[in-house]
Amino acid sequence: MKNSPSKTSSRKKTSAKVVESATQISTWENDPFSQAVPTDPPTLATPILRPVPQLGSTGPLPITINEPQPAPRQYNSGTPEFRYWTAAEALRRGGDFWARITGLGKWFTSVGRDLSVNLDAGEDFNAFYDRQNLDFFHGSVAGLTVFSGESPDVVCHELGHAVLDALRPQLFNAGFTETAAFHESFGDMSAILSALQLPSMRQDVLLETHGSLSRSSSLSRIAEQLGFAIQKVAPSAVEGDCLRNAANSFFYRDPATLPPTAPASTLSSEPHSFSRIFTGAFLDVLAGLLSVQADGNIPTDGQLLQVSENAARYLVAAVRTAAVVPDYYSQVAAAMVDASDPRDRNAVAGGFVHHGVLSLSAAVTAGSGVARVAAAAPVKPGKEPADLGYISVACAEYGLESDTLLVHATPEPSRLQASGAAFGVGSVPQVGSDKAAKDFVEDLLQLGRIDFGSTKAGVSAFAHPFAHSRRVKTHEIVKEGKDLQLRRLRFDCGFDCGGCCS
Amino acid sequence: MPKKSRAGRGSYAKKTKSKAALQDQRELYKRGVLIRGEAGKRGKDGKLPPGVTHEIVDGDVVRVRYSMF
Repeated sequence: MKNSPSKTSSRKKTSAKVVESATQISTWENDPFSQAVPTDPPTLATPILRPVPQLGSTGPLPITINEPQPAPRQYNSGTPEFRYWTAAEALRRGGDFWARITGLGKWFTSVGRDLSVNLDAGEDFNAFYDRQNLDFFHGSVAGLTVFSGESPDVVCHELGHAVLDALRPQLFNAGFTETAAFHESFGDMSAILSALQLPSMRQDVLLETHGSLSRSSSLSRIAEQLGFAIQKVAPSAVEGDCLRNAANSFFYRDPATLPPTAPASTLSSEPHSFSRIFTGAFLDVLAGLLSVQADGNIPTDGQLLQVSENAARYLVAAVRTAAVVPDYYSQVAAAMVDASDPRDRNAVAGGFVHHGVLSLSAAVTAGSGVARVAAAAPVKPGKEPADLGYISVACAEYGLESDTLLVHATPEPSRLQASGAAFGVGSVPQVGSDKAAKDFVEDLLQLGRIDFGSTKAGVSAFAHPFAHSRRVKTHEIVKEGKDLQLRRLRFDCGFDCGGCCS
Repeated sequence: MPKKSRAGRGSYAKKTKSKAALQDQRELYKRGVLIRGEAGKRGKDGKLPPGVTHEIVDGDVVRVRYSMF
């Protein structure tokens, strides 16, 4: 057991246990199936010791569990008492965190003074927030009975709905895909941020990810056990090793162009599915903020704690100011950039640009402190005969040192008449080479694949989750006289493996 | 004052277009909820069927709860 007390003599041990029973309980860190490296089948995590939570109604955001409270002790996992204290600890930890960040004292009016919690409201592989209660359930599959209220991830997700409802009640029934999806994303962000309030979790995730927080980890994987159970009954409905993973590469699409349902491997306009874009961007924001804090050094536990608080404050400020509109994602993201400390602004913008939640030009506008240099550059031919000729790509909106960028993209004549299929009817119109080059450059910028060297103007200043390593940069921008040129450095496998590409 | 009048018409047109766009978004949302079976009516016990997050009220869907999955 993590944080276990050292062995003592039997007499002292008994005496210590009496003290412990009054002050500490045994609980899961963030999920019963949380693992540094997921196995198939998954194994139970190691419980940790935590102080006995005080759920009472005296502090802000009070919570009441409707089941009778067992005496606080270190119960074995699999017992109702263990489940009770695991849920209670997660609820209080999450509630205290959000009360401190938001300054909220009360829940949404219909909830009443206390948020009421039912740890086992019946049979289902799910959990709900309904403006009165948090309801958790149980379900059996493959010889395993899963209690959704036993997972701190699930508990803090549902708690997140209640917190967001208190913060911005207009979102509850706004009737737009993006607002509904943001509610789900806020739940998952609540699970991640609440987990980061545990010292053991911070140490674990720093070890697992080697300080690169955007990697898949026990932090990024949400609700592993519930995901395992759902996968047994609906194999394509969830990720392979959890319910949802914040470490993803989903890129923003207009939800109107997406199908209403899809396997977990692709995006749909279903809110849980669509939420993964924003949560993915948020994890990248956390990763970027941690890089800023660490300033080139190995990040520490204390810095990660500070980053979790800063990110949560920016998020809450953005939720408070962003208009509730159909394109809510970009509104919140821009407001987060705006709310962030100038030192953190590029890291916040970088995370959202990487997932397309903010366009490059929107990110530049949002971070209005970024300077623009408006010197036009003439088109110049390429020198290397092996390359395609240069074309000049207009890039004033990126805020670089020139309004144009020279890119090897003058096309050869077409050999086949072909084009992609449109989402609606017919084909995608053929794209001109100038647009294709612009698209290509924009993709490279969004993916953080360009090395800008010492340039720090416009989008080049955005921090990116992969910015720590030049090895994953595939292109560089160099100055040739008055011109900026895009040059390829290398091809890579695209997985930020840090070693297999050259 | 012609200038003011033109501005007024432009503003009205923009507002109307915006309302229509909002209505489209709401219809899209409602259709998704119905297609995915997320809307239902309360039973005699006053409870919604499992998994349902929206209640059907007068032909519209009203959010009543958020789910984990």
